Amino acid sequence: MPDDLDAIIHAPARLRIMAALAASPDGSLLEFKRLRVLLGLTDGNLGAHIATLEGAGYVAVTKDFEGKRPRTRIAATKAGHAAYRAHVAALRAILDGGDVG
Amino acid sequence: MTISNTVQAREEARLALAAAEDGESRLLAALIYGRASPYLILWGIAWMAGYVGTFLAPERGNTIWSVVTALGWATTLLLVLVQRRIGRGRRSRRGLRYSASAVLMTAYAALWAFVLLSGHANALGIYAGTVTGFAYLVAGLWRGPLLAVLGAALTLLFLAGFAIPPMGFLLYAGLLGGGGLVAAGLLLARCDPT
Repeated sequence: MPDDLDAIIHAPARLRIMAALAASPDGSLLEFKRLRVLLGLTDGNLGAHIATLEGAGYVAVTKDFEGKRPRTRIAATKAGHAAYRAHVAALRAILDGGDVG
Repeated sequence: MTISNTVQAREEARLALAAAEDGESRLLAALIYGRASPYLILWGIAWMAGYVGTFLAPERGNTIWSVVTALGWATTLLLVLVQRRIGRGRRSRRGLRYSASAVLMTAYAALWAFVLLSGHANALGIYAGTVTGFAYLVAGLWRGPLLAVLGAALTLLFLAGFAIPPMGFLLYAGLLGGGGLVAAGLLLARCDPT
């Protein structure tokens, strides 16, 4: 894999998660359950990918209560936004005939 | 992942970019649905008030619709001011959308001529409903497919007004048309990921 590609973001599901988070308005938090429906992932699958992204510092997870119901919300961090943009730029460079490692 | 040659690398990059675009477009569509939902609910309530009010007091129909429409637009303006604008637009498939919009415009122009020249007692109501349907259809074409489905459903719902007696049409349009908008607004509100 070319050096410019981010191994953590490159997995298709994580790429879609980061794309959705990066497209959301600045500072907004996406609800876990809505993100799961939006991307067609299972609870376990999304949870595992979010944990990986959180471990890399690319997303921040916020847990609180909405009334009596627990709520988990996710947002891309600054590092996550930057990593996603760099990853997409690297993919475009490959398509444009640049470095393929 | 091992990328062994340029062709494979480009194919993988193309697939990855498609996945990223998919994630982005799903989120943007969901955001649009969330922003559209209060307008649907607002105008659904306005329609119900207008049509049911006209059903109950036909002689005051013009006044009722004037008040309802003025309140509707004032509240719409307020909603527009309150809602944050979405800064990102979609660039892909824009040409196709322009073409599809032009085709829709032509088709609806023909439909409206047919409706207005029909001489049917419900013609104006059917015309108003199909104008709204057209607006949602075009909005859906550009912003989110559920709005297009809603626009098509509204158009069909109001065209069915040809088969309904005039007094019954007021209730039909108010409850089914307005209620449908409210229901659609509530449905779209559930799509909002934020």
